[in-house]
Amino acid sequence: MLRYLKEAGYSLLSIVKGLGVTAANARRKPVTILYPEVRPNLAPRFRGLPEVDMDLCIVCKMCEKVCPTQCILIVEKPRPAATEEADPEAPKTAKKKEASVFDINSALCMFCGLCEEACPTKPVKAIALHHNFEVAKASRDELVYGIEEEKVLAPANPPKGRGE
Amino acid sequence: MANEILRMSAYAVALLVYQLVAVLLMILWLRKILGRIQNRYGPNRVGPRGYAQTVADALKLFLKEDVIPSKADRLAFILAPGIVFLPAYLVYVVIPFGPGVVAADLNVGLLFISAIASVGVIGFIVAGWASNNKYSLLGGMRSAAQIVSYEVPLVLAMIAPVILVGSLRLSDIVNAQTGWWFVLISPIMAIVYLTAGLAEVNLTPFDMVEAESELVAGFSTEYSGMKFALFFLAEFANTFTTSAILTCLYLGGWHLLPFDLFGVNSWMGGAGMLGRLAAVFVFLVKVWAVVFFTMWIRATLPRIRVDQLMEFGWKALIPISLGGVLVNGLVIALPFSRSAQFGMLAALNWALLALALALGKGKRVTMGSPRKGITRVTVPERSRV
Repeated sequence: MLRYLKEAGYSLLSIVKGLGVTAANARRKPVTILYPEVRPNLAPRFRGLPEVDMDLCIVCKMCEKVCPTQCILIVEKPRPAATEEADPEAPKTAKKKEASVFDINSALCMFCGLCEEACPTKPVKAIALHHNFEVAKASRDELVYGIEEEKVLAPANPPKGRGE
Repeated sequence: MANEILRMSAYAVALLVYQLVAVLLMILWLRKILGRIQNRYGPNRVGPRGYAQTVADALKLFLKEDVIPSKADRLAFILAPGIVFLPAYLVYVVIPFGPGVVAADLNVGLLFISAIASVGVIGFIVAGWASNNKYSLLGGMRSAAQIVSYEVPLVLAMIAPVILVGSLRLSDIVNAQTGWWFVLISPIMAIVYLTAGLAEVNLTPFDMVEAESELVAGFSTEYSGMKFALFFLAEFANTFTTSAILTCLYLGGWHLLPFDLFGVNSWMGGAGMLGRLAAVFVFLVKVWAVVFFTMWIRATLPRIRVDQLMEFGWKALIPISLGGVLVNGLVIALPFSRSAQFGMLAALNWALLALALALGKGKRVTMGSPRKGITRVTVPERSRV
């Protein structure tokens, strides 16, 4: 009889305790955010789509080689030898190579960041994984980012990162 | 006579509308409350603050294709949602929303409720059988076993206040609580009623019927569109009904205060129009508070296993409720005044409850301690090769 009461009392107390836990959580602010309106608070080292700064790129194709899914395609622009002589005032630091094609297929990219690791430009990497995670598109063709754009991968919305 | 028919039709329409609106609100609030308890927002996209969400869901269900499996028993398959829904609606007839605000104040009100409410089980079994699907059948059988088992403590917990009042009429029981709410006189039976009621309407932690990890969706696996909506409507309507009956039996119905302070309760029970409106308001607030509590429980407790469910029903709830009825009957039979009897009952109940809680508080739980009779084998560490 006493054991019976003990069990009953213990169960009741446990339930009350559980109710307390859920009540405490109900008072807490939700951890989810209202995403399209409120931007997520991304970590500084968050790995979004790789973006390339063509001003920095030396077209060494290291990223293309290291990419495990081979989602990067670089075609070097043939150097017109004549122009170099025609423009003697060109700064000496000017790049020696330029790319005519620099495609990144975001359908293949797995955000591993090896391209960024391999990139030899210093102090700023030409290719780097920024905060763009909104990579959904309406068709497959739109998933391949090319050089026609301002920067290779200038996304429609620049990485904001901080939640608003 | 014509007047009476008009009154009943008005009640019928009003109750149906109220039920539909209440269910829509209940589902919305359930989702919002569950969301907040799980640290998320819950529905907030459709309409202002998400308030059109359930309306949109209902519209979707209306427009959905109504699939009937080709091997199903067509007649039974179509009838089952009706068999489940009709009792859920009929029970509203005897619920007193306020003094005199009741469709039919039957003198056998509680008997009517328990008789009608148990018809719903047949609908579950019919739905399970007609679907011609093993999960549906298992779900239906389980729900039948569960509801039949928990009907016993539920009805016994209904009888306890009936013994105190001496009437099955719900408004009589509410009026008898002008002085003291019965939850103060027999809190243990109130807890039993709440627990059995949760099981009766298949709410967590007793929602075996829809244990999706085991049974897909139970008896409603094959249902879609409006038929599915009817099952859900019935489930939420039953939640409201159980809460309303709990309010009538133990929480003082439409009486504002747990005891008649300054005659407030007497005024509300009176015939004045204002008092009556206030009474209806108080009653609804109380019922919705109980509904909220069931949602809170739902967010807190995990679902129990089917054998634990049966064990709890037969070995814990039924003895407690039987004992409660016995004690109530004995005390009422004693040659004292009614208030003295109530006082004795209250003292006994609270003493038992306090003893149980005190004992339970001292209980030590040791995780993983070896049981008697089980020899533990220590596994030797794997030697490195």
